[in-house]
Amino acid sequence: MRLLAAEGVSKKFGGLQAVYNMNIWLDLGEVVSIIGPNGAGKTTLLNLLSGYLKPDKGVIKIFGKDVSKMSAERIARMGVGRTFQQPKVFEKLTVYENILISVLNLCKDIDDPHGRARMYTEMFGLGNVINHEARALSFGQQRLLEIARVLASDPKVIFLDEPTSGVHISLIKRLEEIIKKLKNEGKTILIVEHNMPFVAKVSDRVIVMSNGSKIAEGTYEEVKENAKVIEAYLGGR
Amino acid sequence: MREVIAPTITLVTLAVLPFFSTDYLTTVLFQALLWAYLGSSWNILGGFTGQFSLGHAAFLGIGAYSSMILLSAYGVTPWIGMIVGGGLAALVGAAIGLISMRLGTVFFALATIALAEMMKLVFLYLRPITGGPLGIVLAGGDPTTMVFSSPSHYYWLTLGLLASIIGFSYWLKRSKFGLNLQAIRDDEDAAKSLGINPLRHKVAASGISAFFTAIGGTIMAQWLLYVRPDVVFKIDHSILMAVTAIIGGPYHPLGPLLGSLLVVPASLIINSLLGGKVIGLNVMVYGFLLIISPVFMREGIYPWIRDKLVRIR
Repeated sequence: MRLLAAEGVSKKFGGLQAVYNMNIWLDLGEVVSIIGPNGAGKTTLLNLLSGYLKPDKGVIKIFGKDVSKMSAERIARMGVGRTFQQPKVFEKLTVYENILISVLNLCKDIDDPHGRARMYTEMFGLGNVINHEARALSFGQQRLLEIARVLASDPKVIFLDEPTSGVHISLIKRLEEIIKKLKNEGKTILIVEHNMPFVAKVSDRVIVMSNGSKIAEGTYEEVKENAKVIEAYLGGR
Repeated sequence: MREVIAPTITLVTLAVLPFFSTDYLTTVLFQALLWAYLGSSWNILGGFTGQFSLGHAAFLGIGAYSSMILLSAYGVTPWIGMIVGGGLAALVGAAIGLISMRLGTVFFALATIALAEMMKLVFLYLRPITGGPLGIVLAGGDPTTMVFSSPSHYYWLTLGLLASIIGFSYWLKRSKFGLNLQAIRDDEDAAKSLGINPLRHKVAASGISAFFTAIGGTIMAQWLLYVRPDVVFKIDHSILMAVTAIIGGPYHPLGPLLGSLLVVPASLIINSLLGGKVIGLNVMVYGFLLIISPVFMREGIYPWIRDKLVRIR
């Protein structure tokens, strides 16, 4: 079942073609990673898919509905959760409030929002800082808090922008387990990532972008041997 | 439960103060409470939502004029007039928010200054209704028209309003709506990712803040027994509301009260000591406090005191 389909999506900032004629789809329960060198347009694509940017050309459909002109908050209310390249936490709210706010806004008909917020705080190892303001956390903890906040809202589609960046190796392993568990629960996940071992472990499919366009697509094993991919990363042999 | 202790002790202490003070001191404290109330009203938008208004005098003036016009022209008691004024100010507050908030916080701040200046001119020119530059003067009254013989009665009325807005601010801070406002303040993009509509929330906060500010305007008018455009629409008022909240601690419901208890008496005492020798000295005092206080208390007096108490424990 196709949950997301984007066709011919392009975005230009002044003279810079950030994303060009991009096609991407996500099926139910799939974990797809987007990789590529810096400046390839990965985060711009994620911003387009989640409504933070509007495409100049092309159509984006989520759950069969055209969301190309839809606001980010409306897309979020459809069940699309996301994190950001730099963790965006509500710094003057506590860790607990950061997660609670997600539950209160996005979980419909929930009996115990406070219990759910506490559960996700514990699940991500943030129980010992539950009443601390989010700004007091380390970068890695803020990253985890952001992911916890997204998952607590029970989204159907999840976009993670560099989830392992700045996170300790032991927590990356925990993140791998969480992603596998989410996949088993039928969640659909799109990850932008530079950490290749992580991508190799969690992804069903990998999309490689360079200069705003897709240059390869397939399993991790397939794309890593692709000549265009090697050229994009190494700048030619 | 622990959070209730500090405001309860503070408010009970303030409630008994007039029994032990002179009329002059009660008047000084009344003004401090009034500005604490107005600062708390400003803080709903400025502190909790992060939208910096520099034109809240517009809402103060709307409240002052609404109740005065209703009383002098139609005999409507200010007890009802203040609600009408609050409603009008809420509509204006929401409208200015709707027009200017989508363009960013800087533009909103500029738009609010323009609004207050515009209001001053409108009320100057609407002479048949507002009395023009001479304004409206009340000959006198009684408690049914919110006119009291003793400053302590104004003091207790304002303390009651202050207690209400502090209670409201505590509720707001914890409610879903209030958490959403704080989320927007901290990171608007992240708030959107949780399905929160920033513009709708900011407009609502602007309306609520304007409503409470206008009620303070009625109290001010009934205390002065007159209202004039140059008195109520002063930019000094807008600045003082912001200053009490920022110096006291804009992220906490008790912040504006602490800020006002410092700034207002300090300004009044300095003014009374130096008389009319230096015009605008009070504004200089606000300015000085605003520059110097963040050096020692980065987020205001409240967190500074709280952190000291935690260390002592």
